[in-house]
Amino acid sequence: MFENMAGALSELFTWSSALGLLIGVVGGMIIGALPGLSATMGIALLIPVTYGMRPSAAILMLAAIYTAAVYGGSISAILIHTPGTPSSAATCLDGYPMAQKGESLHAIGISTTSSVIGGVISAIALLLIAPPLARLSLNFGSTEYFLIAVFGLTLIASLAGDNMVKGLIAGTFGLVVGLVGLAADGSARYTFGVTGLLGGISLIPAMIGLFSVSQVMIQADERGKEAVKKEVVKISGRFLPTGKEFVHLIPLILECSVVGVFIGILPGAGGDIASWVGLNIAKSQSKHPELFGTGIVEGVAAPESANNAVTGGALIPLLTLGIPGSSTAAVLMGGLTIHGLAPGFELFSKYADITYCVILGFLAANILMGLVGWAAGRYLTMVSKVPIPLLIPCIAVLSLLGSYAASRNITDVYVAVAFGLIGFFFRKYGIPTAPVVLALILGPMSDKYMYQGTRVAMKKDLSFWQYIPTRPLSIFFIILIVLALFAPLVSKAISKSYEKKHGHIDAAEDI
Amino acid sequence: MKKLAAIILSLAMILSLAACGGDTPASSGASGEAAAWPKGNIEIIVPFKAGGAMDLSARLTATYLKKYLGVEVSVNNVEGGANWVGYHQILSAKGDGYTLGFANYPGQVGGYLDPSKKDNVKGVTYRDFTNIANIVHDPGIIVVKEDSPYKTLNDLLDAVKAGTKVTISTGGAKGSDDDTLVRLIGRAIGVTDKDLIPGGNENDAEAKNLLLNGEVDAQACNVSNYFKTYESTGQTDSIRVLAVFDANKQELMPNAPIIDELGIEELKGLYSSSDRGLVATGKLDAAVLAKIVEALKKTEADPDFQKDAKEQGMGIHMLFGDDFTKFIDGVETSFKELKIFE
Repeated sequence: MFENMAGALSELFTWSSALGLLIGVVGGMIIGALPGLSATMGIALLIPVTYGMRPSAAILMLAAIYTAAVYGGSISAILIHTPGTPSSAATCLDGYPMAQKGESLHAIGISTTSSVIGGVISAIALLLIAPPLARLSLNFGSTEYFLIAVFGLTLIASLAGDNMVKGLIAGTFGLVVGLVGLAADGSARYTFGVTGLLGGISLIPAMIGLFSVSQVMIQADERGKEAVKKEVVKISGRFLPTGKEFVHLIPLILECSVVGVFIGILPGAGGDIASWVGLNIAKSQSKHPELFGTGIVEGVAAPESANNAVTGGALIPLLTLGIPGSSTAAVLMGGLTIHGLAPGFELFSKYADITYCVILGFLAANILMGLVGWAAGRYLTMVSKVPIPLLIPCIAVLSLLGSYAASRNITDVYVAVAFGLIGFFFRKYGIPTAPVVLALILGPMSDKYMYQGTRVAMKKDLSFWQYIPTRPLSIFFIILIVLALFAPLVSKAISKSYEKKHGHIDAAEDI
Repeated sequence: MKKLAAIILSLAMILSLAACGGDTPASSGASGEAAAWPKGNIEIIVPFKAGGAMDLSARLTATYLKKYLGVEVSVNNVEGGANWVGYHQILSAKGDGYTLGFANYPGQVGGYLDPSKKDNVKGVTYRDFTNIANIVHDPGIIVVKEDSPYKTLNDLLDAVKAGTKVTISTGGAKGSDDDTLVRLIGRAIGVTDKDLIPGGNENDAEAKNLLLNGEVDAQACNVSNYFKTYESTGQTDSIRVLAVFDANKQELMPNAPIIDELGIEELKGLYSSSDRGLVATGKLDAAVLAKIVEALKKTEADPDFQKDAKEQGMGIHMLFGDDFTKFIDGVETSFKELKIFE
């Protein structure tokens, strides 16, 4: 690992990387603070913009957007009681009451401190866990990759939130879409004679459609509705936590960060889930759980450290195994692909300079995010006043340009439009879109590795299913899958107990 | 109603934006007289993603076409449709020589012979192109891990003949050169693909991983995959090249035995390779073609070109006119004889 640091640092200290870092942090905070623009959507839109950049600068910028947007979302949550991204829904509970009490700047300061610590811990986890995991992945064969993909697919149920049936509808739709293209034996499948579909439905246009084009239509749809006037509270209070406060909060922040990293590693579970789990931890450890919801610092620190800790965690399985740890990471994978970087051990050997530059840059992004937030965070409310009619056409243009730019194939633009329509109806009927993307990535992966495993098993005169139990690592993954099947029941119980006590939070949609 | 109108309007906006992006031919300039060619810039359509082996070959060729033609030669990567979006674009360009293309073999031939892709390919064959010149020739090889029980190709073949099942990972499924090589060897020694088993549709990196983690016995790939052995895996174990399936010793891999010197009677003359060449629409002006061929012949003799190609692991083997056509025809014939797609 350390032998790669020199190359990575010289890559990091180039103008393009430094600029990518700065643009990523500032841009990410703006995207995050804008209600309706999430990290996922921002990255989906900006991937094509990175096409001409150096790979290191491009991926660094996208990773910086990820963490900064998750942080930026908390500012809208605190100041206008609207989470800028789904990850900050839990922050509204105590953040906004704090602001109402005249401690808005203090709430932003607590959020900044917690987000930075959570982000930095996740970056360190990424630096320490990813390289050995990548090395370990060299021992993974086709059966292990097949089972990892199936493991990811079982987590769709946990992504689904309240309604598992709707989640499964979304997941199945993603699987069906993933069938289009070349089958594992190289023959064409469900292409209906359309040349452009022979390579399958491309991920980037599909995601731009699902996340961005559908958002344009949703915004248009909501134009008729009477807008709820969100009162912006006055900026006041001290920014940084006091020394005593910091000492009091730090054990909680650290624990939530570790839990956040773990949730990030799980395929599919993202910052939104982590922030609720973080709040739950804070409550269970507090001597005065009844004070939550009245505007106390723990209620901001816990979810904000957990959701930023997710970001680095979600990058771990992405970079090592090609499995996104959250829907935002799934979009980031599209960014890796267009720069010719395939997840796996090669990222940590052949492309080590780029990868370590991104990881170190990600660490720096989390610190820079704190500095920018300290200096300018309070002005981010201005962003949430941008009139939506101005925003909609910009997003529409960027969406279509982006879907064409990625591979200069006009079919991709039609794909983006079609998925925009599909995403619109999904969201109108409360069907989550994140499982579609997860299934679209993991479906073809399981297909391919199953075919590969079948060929490998043939030499032992075994079928694929007989071959799996002969590999100890595969048995380990089967156990994981069984555990994952019970995870939704547990997370459902957690969210149920929350809604009972706090009422349903009108969070931005999970996109 | 107002709401519905807003949604419809937003959709209409998106659709009209999409329509703006329609196919505008990228070829530049009016079709000038062939004598004055080239007057404007030339575009090479590469139906493969940027950064891959095809792309690098096309970019190297573009650099030297620029040197000898005196105009800008740019590479445009048109992905999608398993390369057929790009191939169709090459064919639909004007024959004025300002739009050329890059093709790979046997990939292109395997694509149009596969009956499942018939509707997508729309009846195109190599005959629809002006096949200007083959440029890169990358012979097939079979490799094993250094600690493999198969020390030579003969060991491996003897084991198969004695009834051991052997799996060979391949960079690509049916129709790729790697898969075809395994099937050709099987046919030559009289076993089926149930005994000498080609892998699935893994890419070269995954095929290598399957070899290293011991799931397969050998890997079918190309000289370019291993010409600089093992700089990137970080593993201490190494690989051994059992045979290069080419008539000539490879400059990039001087120590590897070529198939004909192994003394395996059944496999004498069994050659396999991945080839990349410059093509254009079938309508290409004959005078323009002559000028491109002339520029390529100068390129071939250019020591700088040879040096650049070697550094990037590209074996250069230029074939022009009938020689090139005969070569592609041979690829087509061998697919038909093997009955892979039946």
